[in-house]
Amino acid sequence: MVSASKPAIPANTIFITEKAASKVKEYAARDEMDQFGLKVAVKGGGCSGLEYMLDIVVGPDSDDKIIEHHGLELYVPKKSYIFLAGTELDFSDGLNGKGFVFNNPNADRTCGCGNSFSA
Amino acid sequence: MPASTTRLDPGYDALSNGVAILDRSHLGRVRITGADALDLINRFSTNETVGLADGDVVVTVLTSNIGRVIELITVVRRSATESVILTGPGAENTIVEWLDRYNFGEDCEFSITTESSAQISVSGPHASELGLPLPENGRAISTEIGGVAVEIVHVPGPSLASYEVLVEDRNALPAVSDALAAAGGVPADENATEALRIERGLPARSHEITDDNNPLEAGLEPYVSFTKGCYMGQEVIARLDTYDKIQRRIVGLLSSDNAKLSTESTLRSEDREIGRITSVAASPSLGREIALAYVRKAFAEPGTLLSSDNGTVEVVALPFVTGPGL
Repeated sequence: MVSASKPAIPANTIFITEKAASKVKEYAARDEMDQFGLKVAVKGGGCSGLEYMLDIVVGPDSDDKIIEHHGLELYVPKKSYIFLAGTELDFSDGLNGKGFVFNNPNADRTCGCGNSFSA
Repeated sequence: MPASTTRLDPGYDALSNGVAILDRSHLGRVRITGADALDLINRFSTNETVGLADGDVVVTVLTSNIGRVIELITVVRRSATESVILTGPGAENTIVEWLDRYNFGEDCEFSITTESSAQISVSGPHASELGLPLPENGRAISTEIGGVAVEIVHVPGPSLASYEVLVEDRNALPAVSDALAAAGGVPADENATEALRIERGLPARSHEITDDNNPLEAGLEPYVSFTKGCYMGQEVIARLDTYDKIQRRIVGLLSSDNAKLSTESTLRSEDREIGRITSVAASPSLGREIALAYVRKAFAEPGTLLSSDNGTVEVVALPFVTGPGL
């Protein structure tokens, strides 16, 4: 039997898996936040030049693109979006888990720790 | 025995034995402002630019994600929110475009001041005898020369210049130059400076320091921190250092028959290309044709004979000539 391949994330959006979205909601609940979304951004830095940034925030900034999946709003600054379009944000748990994982098709090079990329 | 230097221009003599002044206003200068500016530079260069005090001076290398040199820069911190970058001729736009590309809304602004400001290098073993108030090593101070407000900067690391005098207003350059000359500084020109640079084995932008090279092979190791943590290109540079993977070295070359050497000449050993010449000069001190070159590590031992486009050359240890400031 041939299993169906995982569908690609459309290049005009950013996707968050259900597991990753649940984890964000868990952290927000722990901090007793009633209204929140996930800021997903890029910052200059790391071995490869660009670093991922995640932050649970109350609401979007004025130039953020707003994307919703699994009942969670993602806020993505416009300049960051250029480097993140088509990305899937997943969560890897367990003893050897990596935490939040970015599967970013724009990354042509990633540093050893996986937190930094170039595009 | 070195050839007599009596036939040399006064500027070269002053650089070697006295006090030379050189208008280097064509070198790039960029004013950076904002609370995040030095942190941004820290994330993209090899040396630490955070945790500095006002007046501190740091030389650092902007590197690419594969550890190649983007530009060599000197950062002079004026305050927590203002610094000035000194760099090579024509490098200002590269620096601003490179850093701005990675500026995601941080508090950091750049303004190129090369045209509006001026810079004079004060060099030579007796530079401290001009009667100027001088900063400690790796520091900058504000003072006046000829009634003009200036900054005097000591750039740490191997350098020809003992001090850089920064003049905010280009129109005030003649007054500062005249005052330095009246105090005993002898005007030197770029030819004399270039000859002495090569004699001292110092790498220069567009010659040895290019985007084909990493900072370690380009002789910029004094400006690389191996303990500061992550910056763009750090992983590659750390690996080159840890596993001794430097492929090429800068060496000195002497022309065996004193034929004139040429830059970009390829260097061969038994018909195999193993390097290229990057800088050439007729050495005033040695009275010979000398050159700097990149060669593969296996051919960097002094005494190695190589073929150039202009005849046989011999690898020699650097510097050709020692002097103050090194």
